[in-house]
Amino acid sequence: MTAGTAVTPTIEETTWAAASDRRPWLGLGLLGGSVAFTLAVLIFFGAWFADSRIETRASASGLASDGSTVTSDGEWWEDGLIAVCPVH
Amino acid sequence: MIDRFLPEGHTIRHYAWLIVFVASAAQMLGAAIRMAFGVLINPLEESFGWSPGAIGLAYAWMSISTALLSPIAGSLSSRIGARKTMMAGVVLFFAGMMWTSQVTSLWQFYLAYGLLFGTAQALFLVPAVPAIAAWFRRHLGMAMGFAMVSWSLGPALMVQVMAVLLETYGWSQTMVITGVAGSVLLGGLLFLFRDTPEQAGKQAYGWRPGDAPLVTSGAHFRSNSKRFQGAVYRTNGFWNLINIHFLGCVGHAVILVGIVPMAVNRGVSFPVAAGVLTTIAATSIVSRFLTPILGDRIGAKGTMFWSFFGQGALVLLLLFADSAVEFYIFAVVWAIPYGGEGTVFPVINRKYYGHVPMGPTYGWQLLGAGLGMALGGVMPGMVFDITGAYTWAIWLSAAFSLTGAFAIVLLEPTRRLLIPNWENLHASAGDGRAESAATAPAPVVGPVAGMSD
Repeated sequence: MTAGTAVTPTIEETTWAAASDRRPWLGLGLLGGSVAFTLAVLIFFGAWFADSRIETRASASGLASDGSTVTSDGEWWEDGLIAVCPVH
Repeated sequence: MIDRFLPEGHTIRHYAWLIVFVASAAQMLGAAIRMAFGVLINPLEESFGWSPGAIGLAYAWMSISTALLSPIAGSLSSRIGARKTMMAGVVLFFAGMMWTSQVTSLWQFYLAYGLLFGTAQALFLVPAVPAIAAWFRRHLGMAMGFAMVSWSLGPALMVQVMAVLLETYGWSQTMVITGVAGSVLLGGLLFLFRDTPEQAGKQAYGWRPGDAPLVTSGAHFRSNSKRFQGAVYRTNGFWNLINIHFLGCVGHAVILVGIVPMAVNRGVSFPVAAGVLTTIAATSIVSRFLTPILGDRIGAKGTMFWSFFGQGALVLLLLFADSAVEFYIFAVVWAIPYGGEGTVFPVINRKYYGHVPMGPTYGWQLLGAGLGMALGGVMPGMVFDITGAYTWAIWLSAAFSLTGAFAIVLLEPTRRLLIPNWENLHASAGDGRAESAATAPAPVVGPVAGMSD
């Protein structure tokens, strides 16, 4: 090969380059969607679990027996899950 | 002699079948020790007074370690070879089992079983399937069928063996016996193992004159394999297959972990409920064997879709199961799509990427599978603790499997390679190895009419 000579890519090199230039948005999007769905499920059930633990503790300590609103201090992870979950 | 009973063009006298045997033995051992964890819980509880939950955490650590290290194990097998990687796994397996036999505290148990054994599993499980793929130019589905059966056979045999050993020698000696026997057996078999046909001076099973050879060494391979893997990362199929493996594994892990307590919760006695799980394992052997063959012959994407769809739709039968008979009917019906769900991945990899080293790609797929198994495993207990029933767990299992089926629909068609001409580029620009491989001994297996590529 001499300087200044145009190099024509082979078919192999052309298809190779086409494959290398792609961006896998669909695949990454589906994977991201599954991760988001899984996190949503974990947060939903986690907050439900945290809610029931707080209620159980409150009931056990007699806070609910006089008909007043059930309240009890939650642990950090219980408060965090309830704060993050939009339906709890 | 056996060849006379095989379909035309097939032979048992090919080194590739020895590779299938060794890889299956590795998978059997790994799956067996993992699945036999259940029989360890009571002895450990009695010896140390640890709670079942605390002991079970070691299983979770092991699953997560294996999952997170799978891509590294895949990459390592591509760089240093499957045999060396699996040998390192055997050494760690031996060390893990010996240490587990001597533990006196929970943190030691987590490190020995959770981390060391988890790492060992990744090292000897991940390279096995890509190594089989390298040895089969055609008929990969049949090879995978035989290899995948080991996932069911291993636990079925090993759980009983470990139960007898535990009863006779106690948990510590059982760990020593299993560790020594497993290491000697697998280590010995690995001496017969060859990573690729090229390394053994042979052609892959099903090779035909004119096929580009699989070149797996030399400077040209090293530079191009990096570029090739970069191109694989840019395909939608690569990321979607990780996603699909994850979704499918969540779907069936919920049932595998939850089916016995679900049945007990509906009034079925414990021994009868345990039989439901055994029935699932036994029935799934059939579809584990047949599904990769079907995927190879009639289409990997369609076979995979129906397996996922069946797994997701049929799990809803559990909503109406109230008696032992209904649970057993469920076990037989559901085990068929479940058994086929994870076995088509190596076949679809072949359809998408051709006859190329598959270690890193398969390692990433096992990362998705492992995380799915870990997540699906905790779901039934978590749901039951909150709601007092398993109904939500069944719906979640269905949702994850059916989402997986939907994701399969969005996969690229398998009619053409996603990275075209890789094999030709590899062979034509070779460093001399391609030509030397092309003139290697003629293949034992000739063309077979009607067999898919």
